[in-house]
Amino acid sequence: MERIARLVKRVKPDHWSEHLAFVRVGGFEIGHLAAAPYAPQTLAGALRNLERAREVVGAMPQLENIATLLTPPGSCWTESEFIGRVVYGSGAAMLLDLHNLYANACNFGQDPFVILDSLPLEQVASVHLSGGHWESGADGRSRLIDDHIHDPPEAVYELLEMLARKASQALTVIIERDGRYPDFAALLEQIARARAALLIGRAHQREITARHAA
Amino acid sequence: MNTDAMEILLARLFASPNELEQFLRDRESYARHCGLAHPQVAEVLEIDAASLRFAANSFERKRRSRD
Repeated sequence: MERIARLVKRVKPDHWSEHLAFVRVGGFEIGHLAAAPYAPQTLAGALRNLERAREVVGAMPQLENIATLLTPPGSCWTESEFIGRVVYGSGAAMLLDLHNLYANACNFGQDPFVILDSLPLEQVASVHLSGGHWESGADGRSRLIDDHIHDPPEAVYELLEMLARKASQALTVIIERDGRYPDFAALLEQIARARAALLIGRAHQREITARHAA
Repeated sequence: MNTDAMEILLARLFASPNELEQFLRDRESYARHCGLAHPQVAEVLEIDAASLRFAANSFERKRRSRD
C-alpha cells in the first residue's frame, strides 16, 4: 500500500483501482484473483481494507468486479448483492469490467443484462471492455475465460449500450488489451464501436427522460 | 459463519494441485482439518469437481505464465 501511495503521489492519477478479490490468505498464495465468499465476514474485511487503503493512499480505489469460474462456497449473497454492499458501504466508485460480467454470466448460465441491471450502476465511474476465449473442460463443458488478448465480443458493446442507457454519470471507457494486438485501425474501430454504443445508450436515456417529462 | 476458514480452504485448493487432489479424495476430512464447521462442510461437499479443477488449472497456468 505504501508503494501504491508513493506512485499515486508522484503520478497524481485521476483515480486508481483494485479488484474486489483476494490473492493470498493464511500463507497460501494463489497468484491471481479469486472470489471470496459473498458473506458478511468478507464484507466487513473488505470495508476494513478499503478504509486502510484510503488512509494510506489518500483516495479510495475504484473497485473492479472479477471473472470467477466458481461461486465461492459459504456465500449468502449473489455477487451483485455483495458488490453493492461493498460499494455503498465504502463509498467507493465502481470500475465495471463488462467482459468479466459477461464471462461469469455465460459460465453460470445467467442473463448478463439481468446481472448488469442488478449492480449499483449509479456508482460506476469506469468501464473495462475486453475479450476472451472458450475452453473445454474434462467434463466436456465449455467455459469463457477472460484473457485480454481477444477482441471484445458484440455482447460487451450491447452491455455498454445498456449501461449508458441506465447510468447518467460520465463514464471512462477503456479497452483492455495485453497482447496479440490487432492492426491499429482495428483498435480504432473498437473505440468507434464503443463510442457508438455509448451514444445509442445516451440517446435512449434522453428519449425515456423526455417521455416521462411529457 | 467463519469465512476466513473457507477463504483459506479455497486458497489451498487454488494454490496447489496436490492440495486439490487431497481435497477431492476426502472432502469432509479435508474441510474439517481446515477448521470448517458443519454447514460449511456441507457446502464444500457440493462444489462441482470439474469446475473446481478447471478453476485450479486456470490459476496454475496464470502462475506459470507469470514466472
